[in-house]
Amino acid sequence: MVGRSNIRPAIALFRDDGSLRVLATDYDYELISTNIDKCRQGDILPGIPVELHFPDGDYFIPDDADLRWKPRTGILAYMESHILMVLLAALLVPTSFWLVFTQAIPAAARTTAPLIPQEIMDRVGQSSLKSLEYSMRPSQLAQYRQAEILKRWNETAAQAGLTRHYQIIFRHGGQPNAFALPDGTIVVFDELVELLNDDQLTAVLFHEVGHVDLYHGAQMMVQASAGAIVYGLLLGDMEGLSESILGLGISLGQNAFSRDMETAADDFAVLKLKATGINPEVMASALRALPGGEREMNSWREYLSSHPERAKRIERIQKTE
Amino acid sequence: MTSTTTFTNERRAEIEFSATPGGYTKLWLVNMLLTLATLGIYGAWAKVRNNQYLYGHTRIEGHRLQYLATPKQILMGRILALSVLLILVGVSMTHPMAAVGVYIALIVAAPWLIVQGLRFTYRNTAYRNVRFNFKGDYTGAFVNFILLPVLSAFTLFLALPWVIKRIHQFMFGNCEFGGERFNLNTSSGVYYKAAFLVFILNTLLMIVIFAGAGSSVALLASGSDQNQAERASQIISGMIVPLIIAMYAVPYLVQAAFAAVIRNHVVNHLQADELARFHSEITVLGYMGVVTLNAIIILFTLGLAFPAAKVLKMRYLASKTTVFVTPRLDHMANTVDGKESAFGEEAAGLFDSDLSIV
Repeated sequence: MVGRSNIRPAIALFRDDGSLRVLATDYDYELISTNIDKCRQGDILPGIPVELHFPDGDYFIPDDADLRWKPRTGILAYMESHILMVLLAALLVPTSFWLVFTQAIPAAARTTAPLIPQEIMDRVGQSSLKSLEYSMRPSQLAQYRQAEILKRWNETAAQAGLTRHYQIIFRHGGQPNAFALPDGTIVVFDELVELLNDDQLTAVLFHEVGHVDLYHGAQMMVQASAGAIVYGLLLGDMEGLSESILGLGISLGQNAFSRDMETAADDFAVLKLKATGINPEVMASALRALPGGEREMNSWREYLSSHPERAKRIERIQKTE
Repeated sequence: MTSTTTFTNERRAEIEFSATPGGYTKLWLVNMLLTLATLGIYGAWAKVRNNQYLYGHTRIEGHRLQYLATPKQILMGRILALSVLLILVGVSMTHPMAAVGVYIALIVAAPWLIVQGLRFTYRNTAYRNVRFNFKGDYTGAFVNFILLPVLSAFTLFLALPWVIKRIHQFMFGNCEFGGERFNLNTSSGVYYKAAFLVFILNTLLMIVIFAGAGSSVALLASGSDQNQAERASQIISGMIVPLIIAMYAVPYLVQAAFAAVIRNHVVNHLQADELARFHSEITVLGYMGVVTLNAIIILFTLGLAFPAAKVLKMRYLASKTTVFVTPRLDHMANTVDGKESAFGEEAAGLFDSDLSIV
């Protein structure tokens, strides 16, 4: 009964003209008299009896779960039981997920990343630098050395035909490294300058420029946000272990993209080195000079890393010569 | 500890769960396919159908639980939640310094979202035409979900079992059915005992895993004809797999043990005076067994076995739960409508912070 928990055992009687009577079986009197057209059929779910809703709000629950009140077939229930449809789903669902997260979202990120207004990326870059300054100390390189590197860089950049202005700043970071921010700032650590020769340093700078020129920072941002949103929309109702497994899969996927971007930046660097008349071999020698290169990686450990295996990178560079 | 009160004229109501792992998997898969094909829009309908199936196959005294949310409600909630999320993402990307403000806004909004979400789920659950209701308020949510957990950090998390007890009290002790209020009288002692059990179990499992790793490493490293680099990398490989297992499997199992103990306690102490009371007798081993089986099948099917796993777990829980009701149940009147917005519940799903009740 509508709005109440009272339940009456009853039977429903039909006539061909559509008229419908519901009789209570405990006291043998009529509860409802109406026409089937005025009634609404409830949702059809596998294994669950289908309710018939009367105009006044009461409804009737049959004993038989297979009974259908109206000729309209439950398309959904049909699909959910039809084995072919289910097999199709079992095949297409994981495939679609794979496609969405490994092809569709990255492709969308690649196309929209260059469209993000430069002012936004500039602000992101400056903000990142501000927060990173806490972990870096002022450069200990001599002033003349810094000026030397800057002069050489400006000449090389012009020769390489770089389309934007890249500003180099020096810091003391504790290990040889360099990175580029989306606003065109390139941070170079003293330790890297001391480790590499001029040409090798140029190669590394070109690699970092490649990340900016190819909009990798923006792409990662869009990809991560879009991935999180799509995940929330499609899989938001999953709980527990399934969530962890899929989350793990997605972060492994992100690492794969990171590796692709590193390779693209390597390719960019080789291109620009050739354009400025420097032998691309210096890029390979720079990679070799960086610490940690001697340790051979097991192939599966590469999946956990954001950079491709060093040997592979060197091999690829040497193939282009 | 079981509740020893009995009500006058109470009768035992059996819970039957007739869903099948195969049946639900078929329904879930097809609905997931349709959701993907419609770029997620059909997801609102899919969610309703999934829940209708699971609720509808849960019978108490032969009468089925009802899930009354409409796809439109859920769709509206999702659209709203998505819009808010996009605005937040946009703001924090264009004004990175505003990120602090965004976090504060989220903390302020979270209790409201939690209450909204719980209200939506409760109010759209009905038994014999009478909807449930949730009477918790914003203050309660703020204190129990934000304030106390943060404060418990200052006690080196020793207060955490007590905080969890309070959270459960808030989530389940504010339940209403047809105007009748449910009471939950849990004891902190049981929560602390369960936490202690968890601690012991965790330590034991860690010891076993690292002992296993250590002995395999010792075996590997004992080969004298390997050079140092190879040996070093083998030692590292020998440690990584147990570490990964430990990081994922141990918390999962340990959590299951805790949940088993607490579930019995909470259910046994949940009652509406002279209307209904519950009894749960799941065993720690039984529950951990179901949970472990689920983990294995989900792992080997890369998540596709999720619907089957859900049915298996619900089936176990239902088989160990009984309800005792009085004749008052046969004359209740519905006191709430289902016009609640789904925003809270869907925002929680989108932000990946939803609470599961069962």
